[in-house]
Amino acid sequence: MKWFPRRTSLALLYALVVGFVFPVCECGNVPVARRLMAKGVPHGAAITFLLAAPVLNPIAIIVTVAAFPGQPEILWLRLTFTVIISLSVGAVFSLIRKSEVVKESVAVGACAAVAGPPGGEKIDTHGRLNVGGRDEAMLNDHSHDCNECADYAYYRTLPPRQRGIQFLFLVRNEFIEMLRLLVLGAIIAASFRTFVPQALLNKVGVSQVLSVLTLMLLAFIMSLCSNVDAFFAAAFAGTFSPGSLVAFLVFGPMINVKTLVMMTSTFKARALFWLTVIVVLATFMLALLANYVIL
Amino acid sequence: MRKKTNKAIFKYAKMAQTLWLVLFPLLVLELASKTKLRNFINPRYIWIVYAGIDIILAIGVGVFALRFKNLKLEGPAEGSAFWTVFWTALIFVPLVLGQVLGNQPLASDRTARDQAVKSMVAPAAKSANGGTLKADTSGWSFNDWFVAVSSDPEPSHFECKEASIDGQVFDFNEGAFYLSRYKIWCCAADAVAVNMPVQYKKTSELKDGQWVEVSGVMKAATWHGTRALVLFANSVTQEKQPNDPYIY
Repeated sequence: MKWFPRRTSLALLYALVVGFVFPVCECGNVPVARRLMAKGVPHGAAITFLLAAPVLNPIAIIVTVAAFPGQPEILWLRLTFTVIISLSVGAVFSLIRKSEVVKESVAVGACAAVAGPPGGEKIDTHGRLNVGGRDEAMLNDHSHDCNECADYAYYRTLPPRQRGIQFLFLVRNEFIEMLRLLVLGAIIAASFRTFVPQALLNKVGVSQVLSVLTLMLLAFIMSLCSNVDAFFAAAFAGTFSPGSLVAFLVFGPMINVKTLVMMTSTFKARALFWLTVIVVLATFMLALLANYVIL
Repeated sequence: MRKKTNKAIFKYAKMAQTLWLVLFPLLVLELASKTKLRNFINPRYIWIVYAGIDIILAIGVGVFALRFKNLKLEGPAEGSAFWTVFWTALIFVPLVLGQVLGNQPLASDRTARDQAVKSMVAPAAKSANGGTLKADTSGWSFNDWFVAVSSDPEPSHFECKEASIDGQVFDFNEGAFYLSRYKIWCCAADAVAVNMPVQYKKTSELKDGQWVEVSGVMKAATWHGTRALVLFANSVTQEKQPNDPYIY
């Protein structure tokens, strides 16, 4: 993370590269983005990574090629629209203060124990940690497994066995933290899939405009993994417009029921609302552009 | 007093979460031993499940082992007791439901099938390969047909080819029905119903959802106003649901 550029514009572009290197789907990248921010990566860049990584990763690209043989325009539009939207959203949120976008636990480190080893200097990594005003007794209590302490210098001072134990507890905590949100999102998505008649969606999806909205809604509800959603979208190729297919493939990995629930662990509600609104509008406009102009 | 109660709730919630890490892999292994994992995931990717549960089990057993050594490593009781209990209970919901309801493939579930995307065989591919097919197709499975027509959607290339495939009767009308199977690419979440149009005179003998083997000849025909590959059935025989109702 020390190679992350300090300049916002470069950081946003670098986030795209990181997104390509990390083969994470939209579930996996929420904790990664959170950790990036906790390590001091600009929040705008982390958001760009969050939105772009599920689509830009090599697995999703290969799967899209396999699902749409003879239709390379679907892949190119998927990648292009993803880059445009993720960079735009990242740039917009870069203009807003971090404290207004991400939760305090991510923004400043929730745990007092990040202060450093007993008797040692307090650690303030580039202003990312604000331990002022915390309980001194807590500052010297390192005998716990707080999520926010994973990457601080304190752990590097521990003997290997103790570090191994802390590692185990941190992995457990991180896993459970994401698991509960994953389960909640899956319950919501499965309920929609079972009880909302999909035939109804198919009927309203015949027009150039409605088809885009329909498949965006479906992508939101289904919460499919970005590494396989292209196969699912392929099933609609005969009946839905190409722009709507691209909208499904772009919007689904960025915003869906499952990830939205998971993102609540990281972002403030107001920021998450506007992030969703911007992504919805941008995807919709670009999909219409694809339907009426490009394809 | 309240602080003490919170601390106890927090402690037991953490223990329950760790218990989950041990229980979940064991239940997955139980499913695997009954070869029922295929109801959830494409067999090609089951190794990912095994890798995942190995890691989860290692973490769970590791944390438990440390507990037995009485290592005090938990943090202070933080947050609301209610939400701690709620989130902990939530992760047990799938485990409990899975045990109570058992697992069943989508193909046997009427509601899920009706909600599924109704797609013709070969819904996506636009590219056509070569000309008329010369291979003997009489032994082809549903999936073989799906793969073949996906790569060559031109119906006339399969004209007069013999077919004998099994699936579920779906959406039958007088003289016609769909032969339906669920296809899983990765896991059950991306399952899509793939339907082969079938022309058959005696549809009155059929029931919706019934498993049948259909034998006949493929022909290019008009199906609901669209040119499509249609199986003209000579015989439709009832059969039991296969152990593995999905195609992958």
